[in-house]
Amino acid sequence: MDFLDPFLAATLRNATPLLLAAMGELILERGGVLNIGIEGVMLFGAFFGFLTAWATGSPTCGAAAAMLAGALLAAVLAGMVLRLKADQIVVGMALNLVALGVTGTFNSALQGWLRRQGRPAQPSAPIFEPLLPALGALGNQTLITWAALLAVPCVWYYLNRSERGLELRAVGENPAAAEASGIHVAACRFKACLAAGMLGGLGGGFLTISQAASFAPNTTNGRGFVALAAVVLGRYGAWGSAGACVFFGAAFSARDHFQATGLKVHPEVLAMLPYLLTLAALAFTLQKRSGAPAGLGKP
Amino acid sequence: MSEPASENPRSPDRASAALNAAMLLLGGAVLLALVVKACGAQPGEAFAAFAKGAFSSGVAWGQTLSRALILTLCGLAVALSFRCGLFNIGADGQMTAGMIAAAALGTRLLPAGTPWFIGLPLLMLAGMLAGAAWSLLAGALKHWRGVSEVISTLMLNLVALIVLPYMVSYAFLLQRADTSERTGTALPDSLQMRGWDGTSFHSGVFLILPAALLVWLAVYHTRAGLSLRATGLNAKAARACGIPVRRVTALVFAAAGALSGLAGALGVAAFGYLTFEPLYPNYGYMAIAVALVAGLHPLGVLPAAFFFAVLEVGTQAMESRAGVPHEVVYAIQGAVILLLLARGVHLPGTEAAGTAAETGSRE
Repeated sequence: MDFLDPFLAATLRNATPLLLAAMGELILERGGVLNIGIEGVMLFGAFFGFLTAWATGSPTCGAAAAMLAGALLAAVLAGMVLRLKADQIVVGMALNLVALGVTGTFNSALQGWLRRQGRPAQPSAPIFEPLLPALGALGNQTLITWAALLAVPCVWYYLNRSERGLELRAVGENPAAAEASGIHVAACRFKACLAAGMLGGLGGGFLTISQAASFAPNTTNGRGFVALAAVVLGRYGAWGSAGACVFFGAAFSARDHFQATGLKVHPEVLAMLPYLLTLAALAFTLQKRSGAPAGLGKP
Repeated sequence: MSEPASENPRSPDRASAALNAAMLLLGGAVLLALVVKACGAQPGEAFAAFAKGAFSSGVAWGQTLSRALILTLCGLAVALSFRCGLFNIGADGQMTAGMIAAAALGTRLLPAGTPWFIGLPLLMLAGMLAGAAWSLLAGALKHWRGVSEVISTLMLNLVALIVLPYMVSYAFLLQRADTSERTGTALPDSLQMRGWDGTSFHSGVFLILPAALLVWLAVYHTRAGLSLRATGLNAKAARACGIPVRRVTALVFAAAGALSGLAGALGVAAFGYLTFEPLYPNYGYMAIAVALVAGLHPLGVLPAAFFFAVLEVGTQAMESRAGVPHEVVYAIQGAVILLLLARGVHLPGTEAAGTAAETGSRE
């Protein structure tokens, strides 16, 4: 078990940012908004979460800032898409560029400033301590991982059992009919945007205030896109999406753990694994009964 | 089939295009000034470095134009795809595929003494084929399995970003033997497009104009171009008119990939070898900004690509001379796209994109 235990623990760790981002994206997509900018939202959360944790010395403040930063970027998306009726995919791509630029610029500026102060240029932030180390390697996870796992049943309950969730799904399936039946479509979608931004931001923040203690440019490295794929793969359901996230989390940990087994596999081949598996998984699920909201991507 | 029906009624007219351009310049300059200020550099000094880096000498112009070449080709690829209602955002990966194919052909397959007039066209062809193949992977997934090209092209971009360092990390692939650095084997001298007079202005730059003209002719003055535009405006109506929508879609995937792949092949011929990092990082994503600023018009891509090439080279000069981080260029590009969208510049037939996706997956 000395191989399996750390592997499973790493799978949970790698799945955490995906889970958070995918749950946010799920809410948003069920409401009919597609956010390609999820990658940017996560990157924003990763950087500003790290920055705040470093400045205040408290990972909790960092997590709050990550959520706030994610929500801020998602609010831009909401403004562009809901008010100005701009194309969702293009706005999302623009947000990714903005996030890459803003976080990269701030990070370089911060490092330059620290160098001028004669301090180490690579600051490290305080991180969450693992909770419940008594549970062994698998249970030795930080607060954010537990929160991510808890988010799945919450989102499921919200979408499938609550009145608000029903309204949101109505908005996603047929915005015009929802509006006619008295639901405020824009307000409903705006709230979904904020929720998705907070979850995605926290997912990004996990990378810098829980998994690593520092920020590297473009640290999210396509995880947002993988989360996006997880929602499609999970057929727009909470449990399915969560399953897909854990599957991709395992693919990410396979990259790190196969090395240890001494198998002769090139690390690059393993690094491609999550993305290739995403493509393969999408190709082998029937898209016809995908469960995608009928109003997805439509203003 | 009547021509006016396929014309896009909302394509921006000249006055609003000029206004867009003016706003772009102003918005970009203001944003840049804010960042310069925030970094504690002198705005005057920084902007002098910017202008110097982009225009001051033959070297600067060479830098700008050789980058404009890459952005033009990738921008044309994006414009073509978006025009057809396909969100093929895989220009980055397709360009990388073209780079790798061209480098492999030039360093491993062609005999050493191949003259340039045979070798270079072959290199370009290899790049175009590889780019088209990489793009058609996404096309095939959409065609047969109904997978959205948005996600598949993004995934293929990420894969290509890993294949590239893989290629230059192993001797049995494309790694250079004589240095400890991880770079690819250099192309033979005859296949390198050396810059003129020690600048990076190489002969490939002359392809900018013909490429844009060719795409313009294809889109506006051929039957296939008409089918493309009709498909982008409304795929269902296009099919009702007897246009083979699925064939047009496949063709656009291939053509866009070939354009990006050509950019990659020219890029590697200009550099002479592959490096661990992409030679033109994120240019495939910048191309989206280029295509949007161009209003998805092939000839509009020319000034747009030049504008972003200036921005790219200028900010690099600002980084080295005034200490302003180069990453700011991405923020400006994103902001420019948002500004354009906020001004109500819509894509031709974006609401038809959904229907294109539907018809692509059924039938």
